[in-house]
Amino acid sequence: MPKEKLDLLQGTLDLFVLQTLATMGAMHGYGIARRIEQVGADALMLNQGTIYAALVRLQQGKWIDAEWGTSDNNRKAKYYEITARGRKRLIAETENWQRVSGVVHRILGAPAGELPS
Amino acid sequence: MIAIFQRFVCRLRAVFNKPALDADFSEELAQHLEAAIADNIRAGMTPDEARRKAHIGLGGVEQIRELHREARGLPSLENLARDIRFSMRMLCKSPGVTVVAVATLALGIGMNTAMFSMLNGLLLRPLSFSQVGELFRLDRNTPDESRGNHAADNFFDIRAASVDVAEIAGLMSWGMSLDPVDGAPEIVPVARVTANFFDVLRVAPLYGRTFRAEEEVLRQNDVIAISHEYWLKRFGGRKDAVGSMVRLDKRSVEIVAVMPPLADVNRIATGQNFPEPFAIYTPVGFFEYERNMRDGGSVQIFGRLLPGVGLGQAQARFNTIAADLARRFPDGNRDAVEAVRTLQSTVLRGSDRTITFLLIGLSGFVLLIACANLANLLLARSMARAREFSICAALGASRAQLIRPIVAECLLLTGTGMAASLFVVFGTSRWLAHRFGNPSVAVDFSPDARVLAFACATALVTALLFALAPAWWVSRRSPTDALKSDSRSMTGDRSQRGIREWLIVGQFALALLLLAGAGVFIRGIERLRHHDLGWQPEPLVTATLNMQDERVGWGPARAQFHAGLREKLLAIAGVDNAAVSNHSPTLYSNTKHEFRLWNGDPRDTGGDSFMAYQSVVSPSYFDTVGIRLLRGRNFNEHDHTRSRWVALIGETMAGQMFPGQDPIGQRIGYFAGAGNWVWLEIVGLVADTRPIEARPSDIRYEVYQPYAQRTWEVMTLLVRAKTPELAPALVEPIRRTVTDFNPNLAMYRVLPMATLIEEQTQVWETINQLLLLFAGLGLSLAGLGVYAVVARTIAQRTGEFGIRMALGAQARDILGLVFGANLRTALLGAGVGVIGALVLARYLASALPVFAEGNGPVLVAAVGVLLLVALVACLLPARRATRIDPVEALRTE
Repeated sequence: MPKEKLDLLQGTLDLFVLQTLATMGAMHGYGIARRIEQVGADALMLNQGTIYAALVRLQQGKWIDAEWGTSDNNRKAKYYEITARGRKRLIAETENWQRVSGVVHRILGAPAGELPS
Repeated sequence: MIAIFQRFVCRLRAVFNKPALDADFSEELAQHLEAAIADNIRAGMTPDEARRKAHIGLGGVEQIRELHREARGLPSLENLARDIRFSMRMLCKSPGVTVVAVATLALGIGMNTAMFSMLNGLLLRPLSFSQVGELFRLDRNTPDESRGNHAADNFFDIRAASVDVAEIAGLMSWGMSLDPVDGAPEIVPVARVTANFFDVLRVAPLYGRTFRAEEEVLRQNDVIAISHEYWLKRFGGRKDAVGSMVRLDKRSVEIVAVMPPLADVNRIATGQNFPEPFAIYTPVGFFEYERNMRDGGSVQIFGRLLPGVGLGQAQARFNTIAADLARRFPDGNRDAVEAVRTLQSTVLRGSDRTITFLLIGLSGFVLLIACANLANLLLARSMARAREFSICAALGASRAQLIRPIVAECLLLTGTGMAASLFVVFGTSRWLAHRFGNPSVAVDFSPDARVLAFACATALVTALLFALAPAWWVSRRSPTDALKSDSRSMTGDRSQRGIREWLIVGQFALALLLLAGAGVFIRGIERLRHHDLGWQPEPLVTATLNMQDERVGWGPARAQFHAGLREKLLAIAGVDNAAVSNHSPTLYSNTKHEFRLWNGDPRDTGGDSFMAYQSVVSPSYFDTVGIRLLRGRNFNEHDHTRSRWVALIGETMAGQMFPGQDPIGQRIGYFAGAGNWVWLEIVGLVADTRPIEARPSDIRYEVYQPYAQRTWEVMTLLVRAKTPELAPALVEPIRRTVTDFNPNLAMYRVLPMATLIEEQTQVWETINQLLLLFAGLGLSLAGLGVYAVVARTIAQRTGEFGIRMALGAQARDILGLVFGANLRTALLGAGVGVIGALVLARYLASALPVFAEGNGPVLVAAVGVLLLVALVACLLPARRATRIDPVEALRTE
């Protein structure tokens, strides 16, 4: 697989994790993976395990926090939570993504021979 | 930027916290699976099905762990650490080889770095003057002499005409007699400087004041500044030295300043006749006879560019000045060019620079030979591990992963070697400084940051060089190669043999270059010392006398004085003859002078002018020193001020200035100041003499005048012993005799001539030793390399030899097999080396003409020695091959 494509997917996966944590609050790894599958974005993950590399990256950037807590069924689980810094990044990245996808859409969607304005 | 750093710290911390983080992640994964299984069961699957689905959903646990680790830590660093641990184990497994490799590297890198530290100390380390980049030296280049000095009047004109581009100062190296502060009068090295000299260099006195402009003039210059060393030695560091009076050349002078240590003034000044730093600085006060002439002066010009002025701009101005001088004073300035050099670039003079680069280059060749050995060693080791590499490759190891351990091994070896090399560098720096410096120009070769950086760079290049061959070999192999073939019977395929052979060729070529280089150099120096000097140094004892004693008097009185002294000296047992001269024949000093050919009229000075060395000698000089009189007559007691003025000339000058004529009876003249010309009649011809200098001056003409007709202040006393062995024992009797004869005479350095020459040639001796060391090391390393390769090849071909012998091959045939291949390699290497050596000899000859001739036998000898070493290196392992027992060899097969 070409490297550029993977990078795009990786970055996107990070963005999804941030978005999930922002909307759903603190979650554990399995929960995040399930949620991403549920919204139909599992195409971005090779398998659920890849989520953990994304979680490490996000922790290193201090965009999310991790803490051991107790799950619904009273089991120990590692919970991830978005930080203020992470929210800021999510907003910035979302805007950026929308702008890029807008441009991509305009170019790809434009009829042949017509220049995008 | 900060974010990147934070992430790096995070990752670094993860590297060192590995077990805990791994456990943590295992637990998280277990949790993940458990949650997934629970979900799946809730969705109605059987427990087995639920577990299977959960695993499929998660993906391969080990891969996920690896991904996690990579994202978490610093994978490249961890890999490197693992590779280094691995290669450390590999190196420890064969400690003998490792020690030899490290020792070789330590010597190679160490010697190379030590040579660089010389260059660093001589050239790169900046002069200590402030804003040294603004300082320059002005040279006067004429067809007779390049990089010469200036006449006093030219100096004044140059200084006046360049005030808007630079500050200009002058210096003359001189010797003067200083009267007792505590005991006997002594001759001290003096720098006669212009008043602004210290201001131009931006040097402030430790105590006292610098010179005033009006003190630059003769008879107003009765002030001196004393050097730091002289102050400590003679005044014990007392502050009240400033203001006290001493007698300098019989004048009473006041010490107005004590200077701080100024070693660098001695580094930039040339022409010191004394092997000691300047003891005294005094305002220049040009003498009458130094004025009104435009050629043959000895003022060294130093300058500092004014702010905002470039060197090119200054050079343009000096070109204008030179053109102006040539127009106004065509006599002496006609073809003179004034050339600017940065002061820093003058520190390492022409031939020294060649020698320094030669030493760095040749020590680099030793290192290259060592590299080739190590490359061969690692290559052999990689070949032995061929099977392992192939298996790794077959299991999916990438090229980089295969090469990485080899690179790590190289880095480890060179790293250790470099660390050990620092011992060599620190150990030799003092010795080198002692051997290459002299008291007047102390050199400092101690390693600094630049030297360490050089060592590191050398080590890195070395590692890359010898890692290259095995790495290339490994990367080219396809995984199936080794698995298919039986590695035990392999000597390596064609391409591997190719590399190894080329490495040997390279080694031989470099070894020959080293041998030939050392040979050419040593032969050259030998020629320099033993060629026909035209005089005999061995039986001579010399001393320097300062004759400025009013009790001795001038002219005829001087002659009488010396004649009387000679009588006393001849009375010493073992003394054969004695004479005085204005300089020692070992080196030509500042006694060059401009002469003219006679044009038929004492007032007409339009005759051809030429530069010649001017010797003022007593009649017994030629017999004492051993210069042959070829024609005409010697000086005698009838040559005095009231008789005809006469001269003897050297044979080269006679042949070139008077071609096809009889030089005897011809006349030459020189300018004696105040519009007067002195005309000398040539009465005899003597053999040419040569100084013991590797780079003889361009001037080859010699003119001798009788000392009764020309008075000179500082004379060299030369005493000839009956046999050379007696010379050292005569030193004390001579000293006593002179002191008894006149206790007021300042005498300096009473030494056998042999000692003086040894002092002068010590540097050459040291270079000889270093080159021999390089050649010896290079040769033994190359020999070792060949030995190792041949031995390994034979060990690998044991089976083949066994079969050959079983089929009836004799020991001779086996030897032939082994030699045939290696002789070709050795010859090829020698051939390449000869070409290199010829280039090297040409490079040497371009710097020092003495290396130009007679290098043929040296080359032949070097090739012979090299082939002999190759032969021995082959013979030792080859003899083992002939003793192979066919039955034994075939059984192990």
